[in-house]
Amino acid sequence: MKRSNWSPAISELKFAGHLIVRNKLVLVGTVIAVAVLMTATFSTLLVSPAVIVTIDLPNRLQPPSITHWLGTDDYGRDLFAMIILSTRLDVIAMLEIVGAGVTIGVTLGAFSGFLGGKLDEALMRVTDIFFSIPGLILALAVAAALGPGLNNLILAIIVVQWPGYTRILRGQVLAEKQRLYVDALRALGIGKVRVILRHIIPNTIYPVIVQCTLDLGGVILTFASLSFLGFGGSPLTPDLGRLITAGQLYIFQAPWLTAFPGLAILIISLAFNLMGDGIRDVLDPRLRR
Amino acid sequence: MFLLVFVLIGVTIIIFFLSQVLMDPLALYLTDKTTQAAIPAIIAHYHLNDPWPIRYAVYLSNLVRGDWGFSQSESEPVLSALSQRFPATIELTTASILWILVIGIPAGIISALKNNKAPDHISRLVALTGVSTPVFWLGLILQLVFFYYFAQLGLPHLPSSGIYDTTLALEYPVATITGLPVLDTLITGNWVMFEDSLAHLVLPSFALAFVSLGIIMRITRSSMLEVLRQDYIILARSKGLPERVVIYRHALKNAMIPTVTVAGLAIAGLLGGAPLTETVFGWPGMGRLAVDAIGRNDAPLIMGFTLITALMLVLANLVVDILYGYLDPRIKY
Repeated sequence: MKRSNWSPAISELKFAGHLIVRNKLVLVGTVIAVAVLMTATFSTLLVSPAVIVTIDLPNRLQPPSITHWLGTDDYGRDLFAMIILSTRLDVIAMLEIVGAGVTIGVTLGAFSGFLGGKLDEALMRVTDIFFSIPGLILALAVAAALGPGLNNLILAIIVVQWPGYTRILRGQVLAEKQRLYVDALRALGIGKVRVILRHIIPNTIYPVIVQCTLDLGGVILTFASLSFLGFGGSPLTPDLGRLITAGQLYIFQAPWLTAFPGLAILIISLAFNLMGDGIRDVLDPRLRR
Repeated sequence: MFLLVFVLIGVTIIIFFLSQVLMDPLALYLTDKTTQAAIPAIIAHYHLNDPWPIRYAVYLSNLVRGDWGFSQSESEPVLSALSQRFPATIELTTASILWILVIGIPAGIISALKNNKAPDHISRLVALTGVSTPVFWLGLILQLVFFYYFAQLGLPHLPSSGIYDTTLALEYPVATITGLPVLDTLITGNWVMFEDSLAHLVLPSFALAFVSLGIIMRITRSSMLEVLRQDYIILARSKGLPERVVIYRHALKNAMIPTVTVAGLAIAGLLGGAPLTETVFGWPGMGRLAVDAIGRNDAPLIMGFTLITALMLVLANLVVDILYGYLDPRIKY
């Protein structure tokens, strides 16, 4: 009987920690992902945003050195500082996109699955259509239709992101709504909306959380790709894709301008992919071996 | 078949919404020779002042008849601009599929056979890096290494951009039969240009394939592992069949079923990556045309490109479904 004194929440947390630490790759990924999030949060403390508008032509295109760790760009700005400041924008965009995508997807998926009928059928066919266009191309078309600008680019990627979450959550809800407690709640006279928001969604959201952590790495790639193609903000709001667009003009003369921002995208994306794998191991009981 | 038509109609609805509702519908049909006086006639012809359902019906019937709008930046109809660039994109994506078949599937088999040994770890790392690598950046780095640095070191180097060497083509003209330079030069026996266009294909197709390579590799590995545990494999081995026969004749076909299932996903990845790869490598395909159209604000061309990409993906998925039925006779349509 002594066991019952244990708080299950704490042992669960310990077990989650154990699962993450057990796999070295996942651990490294998680550490880097947390470091990226911290860097993004405190980037303006680490590096002065004034770097973006400081032009130092005598020092342009300097190779990596002690004073400029990763060299300087065509305006003589320190590349390391530019990457740190760009990371902030990329990470904010990534979180906004996935956050909005999950909110829209979960809401639609929950109501669609719970209410069923024609609405459900129609919504599922809409998601079918979204899946039949490659994500990057659809985002490109939406961004082109909305016009230039950072917010329009983010909106375009959200448009592509939500259907996946809708599909996952709907499947979960279809199974969950058969459970006895749902009938009990309805018999108690609790409204459908309240049942969905307070009971169904909290009980079915885990697979969506797993999916969205797995998506973080891909979203940052999509964002960087479209920004590389010329969508997104102005030169005064640098992001990693735009740094490569600027750097590729000097690819043979100053290869570091292309290499390092791309490496930053690769590391960030890889770290979030690894962390997503780890979180899946923690949240998906079937994979706990 | 019903689903195919349904999805295509859905795609046209999305593109109709993007191009005719979010943007000025008139822009789709203006040509560079349109005068102010001709505009009312265009509005009447395309029913631009009618309610949306009627406009959509008109739009759809025009699409079917090949009127996809007019591209201002190319000064020609969208469909003809796209169809000129279509073969180059096909050549690039086909070459990428070859990389996937030649490297991805064997690597998956090897890492299943050497489960948890060095080759398996290497393939896992490649797969993880693959899905995390920005394809445009990989293209630039490949150019830097295999074109610039190899040339600097005096090593044989690969060309960095274009579909073939245009100066060389003046001496050995490339005939246009299929529109795919590699195939055309092969048919006409133009060996100099065949070699040249093949060399131009190596880097862009590898860059494009890299992302999907990892996915295919991992799926092949896990399904191969699954199949190798089956009873009929034990039976085949106990009959004394050589390992090669067990793996290639008995295991592989069944292991390919899940791989073919994700092939649709891989093709979507290739089509999505095409605009980026083509831009970086100066490849004269549809993707680069669409990217150039972004800079020139040529919406009709972008929408046409989106439509044709969706069309290609739907057809590719149809082929995947047919292959699926061939590999697994239990599946009937």
